[in-house]
Amino acid sequence: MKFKYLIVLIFTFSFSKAQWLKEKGKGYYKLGAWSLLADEHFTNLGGVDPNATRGLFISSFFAHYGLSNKVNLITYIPFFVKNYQFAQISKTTGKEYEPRREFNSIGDINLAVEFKITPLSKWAFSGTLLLGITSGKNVAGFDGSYQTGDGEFNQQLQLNLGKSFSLGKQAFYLKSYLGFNNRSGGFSDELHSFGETGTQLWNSKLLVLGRLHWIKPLYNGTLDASNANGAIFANNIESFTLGGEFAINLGTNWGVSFAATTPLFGKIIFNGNSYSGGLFLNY
Amino acid sequence: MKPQTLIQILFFSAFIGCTGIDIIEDYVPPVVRITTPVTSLTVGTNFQFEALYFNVIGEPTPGVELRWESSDPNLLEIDTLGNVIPKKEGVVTLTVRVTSEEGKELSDQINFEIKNTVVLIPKDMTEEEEEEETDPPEMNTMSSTLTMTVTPTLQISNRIAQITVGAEYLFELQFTNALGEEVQPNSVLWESSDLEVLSIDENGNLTALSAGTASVTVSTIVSETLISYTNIIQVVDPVTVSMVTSYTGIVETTSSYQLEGSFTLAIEGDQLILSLGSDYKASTALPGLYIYLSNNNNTTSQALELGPVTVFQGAHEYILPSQVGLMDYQYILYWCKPFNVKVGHAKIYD
Repeated sequence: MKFKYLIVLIFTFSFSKAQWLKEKGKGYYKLGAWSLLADEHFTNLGGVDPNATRGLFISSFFAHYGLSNKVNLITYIPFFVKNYQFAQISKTTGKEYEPRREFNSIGDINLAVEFKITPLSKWAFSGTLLLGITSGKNVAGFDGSYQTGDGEFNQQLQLNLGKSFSLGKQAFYLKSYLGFNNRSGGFSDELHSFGETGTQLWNSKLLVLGRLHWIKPLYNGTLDASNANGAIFANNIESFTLGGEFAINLGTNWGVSFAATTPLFGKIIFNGNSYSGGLFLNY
Repeated sequence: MKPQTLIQILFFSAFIGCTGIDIIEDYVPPVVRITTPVTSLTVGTNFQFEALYFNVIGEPTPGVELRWESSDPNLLEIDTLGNVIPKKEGVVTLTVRVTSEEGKELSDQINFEIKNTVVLIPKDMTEEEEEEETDPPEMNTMSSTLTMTVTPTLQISNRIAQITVGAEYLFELQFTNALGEEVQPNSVLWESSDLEVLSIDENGNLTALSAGTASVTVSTIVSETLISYTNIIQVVDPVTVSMVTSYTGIVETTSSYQLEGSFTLAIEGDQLILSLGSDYKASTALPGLYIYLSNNNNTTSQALELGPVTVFQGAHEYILPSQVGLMDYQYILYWCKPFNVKVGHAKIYD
């Protein structure tokens, strides 16, 4: 029921590592794995309630390519998504109430184009149009809840702003965006705000960064349990997450990254930490 | 480490099954429960009481030895199968005992009334209400012996106010002659005012035939004078067993999701119907909300699934499967089925 949220987060992480617009012919590519396990969730009122332990594991490919110096193409392809739930065992009798269940498929693919906008002073300024392709399954598994996609074609338009700065001799960067996600299928539209800062250490071999991401629904969708006809959905999701990442250059133009994120607040999302790792190529 | 090695690790990890189990805290104290909520029985009615033993996870367990006990065998006899014979009017306590799997002695009790098929009019009331004016004794001076005479009277000494259809009853007469002596009258005539309601034979044996009100009159002739006595009787349809037919309560949330309202579980005709009141409200934010009946409010594993919730505000009802009894389940559960989230519950009865 939180799939859309997860996809957005993963995409965000991959995208943020890509830094600024790529020059023509240059690219950033990342093969990654992402995992979340949660036995509780934030309810629609913001409380935290338990649930059967659910997990999501995603293997993905991310690419950010400079079509020109002013236009970049971006794609995120979750080519393997595993949505699973732990077996439910009676503490009293040891009886298995529910077996372990899972569903595997490709997830929703994101395609985006980023275009340069005239810099404002020392700020890098760009726009991104992101399209969410419904390549995943929004009804999956034995009861339909093991989704690997949300089944709706969404379009997100965002404005990106980035700047480099120094604290003493240490150089940092700051990047952020504000986005509007136009969701179809009765889902509420969303506002996205994102901020990230980072710095390079060890002769630029290690990148350390932290980020905040807030997704706020506009509550203008119509989809709820009274009209979903039994479909499993997650509408009006809200999340405010804190994350961090290390990216280590192991070669001239490649390296590995490790990231973790935790929800600070949310509605209709899992309350659990997610962890990811990846192999990136940057040239 | 080479990039190829890392790629292999990533691909390998993608296909590893992420294993684990959730342990469900599903213990509930075992109970034995009398599932026939009788409130009254009529004398002579054969009835079988039933009880179920629910184990440590709230699962009904057949084949457990039930031991029945009557608080007063003079009023009610019960055999090992729960078959009872109500013998006398009164209030009785029925107890069923069972030994649980853990070796504990468990019991359940039910109190109910045993009613008679007839309702007698107390004799003192007869005397007060039916006291008739009698002529003062007369002195007979014509004979050589001085005697005092009184007006002969005829009464039913065991009058009744009510009788159940199908029941029989024998009236007893009290006749006092002119000398004030209680003797048997020479002959009497018994009559019913409505032979469709009551019939009575020449010996005063009454049979209740159908519901209604009728009178029985007994008469005799003394010295060419007809004297009679009348008993007005209400005949009622038989209610041999009275039972609880409904429970009401409150549905409440046990989560952070909205769920509230009143409910009634009631036998209506041949159907058992669960009705949610007009004050019922449930969150529409949670997908896959289902309603269940269960004897364990910690899990739906032993529960009867009534189906997905499709009404989220206002009165509505569920017609339960015909095999479900009023006391078969103790809880109503609201559960998010896909994610195994308990949303709320209601206790049907204690």
